[in-house]
Amino acid sequence: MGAIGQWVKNQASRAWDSVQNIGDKFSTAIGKVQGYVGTAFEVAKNGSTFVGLQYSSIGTIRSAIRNYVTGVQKVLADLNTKASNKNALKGEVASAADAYVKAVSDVAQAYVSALLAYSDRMYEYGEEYKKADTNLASTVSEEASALSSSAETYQEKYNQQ
Amino acid sequence: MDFQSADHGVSITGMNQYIDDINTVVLTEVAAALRDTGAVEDAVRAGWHGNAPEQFIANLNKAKEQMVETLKQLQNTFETELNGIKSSILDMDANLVDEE
Repeated sequence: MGAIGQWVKNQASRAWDSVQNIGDKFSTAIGKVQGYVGTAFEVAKNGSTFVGLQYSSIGTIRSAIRNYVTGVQKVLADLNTKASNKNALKGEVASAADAYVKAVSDVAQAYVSALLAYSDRMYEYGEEYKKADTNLASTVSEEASALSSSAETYQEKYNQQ
Repeated sequence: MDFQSADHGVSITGMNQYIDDINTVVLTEVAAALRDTGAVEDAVRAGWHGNAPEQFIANLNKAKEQMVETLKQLQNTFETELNGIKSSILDMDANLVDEE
């Protein structure tokens, strides 16, 4: 091999070294990026083609639950008027029976109010989504920063000709 | 004398109707109201998609069915109470005056 040939070969080696050098730093940076390790799910658990929550719907859902519970309670409250014992009992026992019906109605309405817990659960799920969104964004941002900080651009040493 | 002019007493027919009326409200109308979760389900699905909302709806439906069953128990207790009142008055009527 002549001198020029050897020189060319030497330059090619130096170029390859630069490529390797930057490549190694890049690979190291990639290796440091944790990457999000989620579950094994690749599709939604129930087969849905997309998953997500519209935050503005939380209030609507909670209102729907409240209206539902109020509706059931109203039917129970009607027990006092729809069921009359005037043709069934006479005397003080009739008044006592009315009071008993009211007690049943009241305790049933209180029992049904337990369904409002689902309104609170909806609020909690919404907060969980928001928290998860923030945390995931933070994780991805950190990984992006880690990648960006590893970026190294090769600068040509010689004027472009 | 008719039942309406009594100051104390029980009408067997009236009591049976009274129990039926209460059954209609508690067992039928309340159960129907509890099972009418359509508006809630529509609201959920309008703004939430995936497995989570379907599980939420399933949980709500499970809770409402449990409530329907518990209210049936309440109704049974209620009916027992009213039948007890009826029996008590009928018992008194049967045993107040001994044959001489």
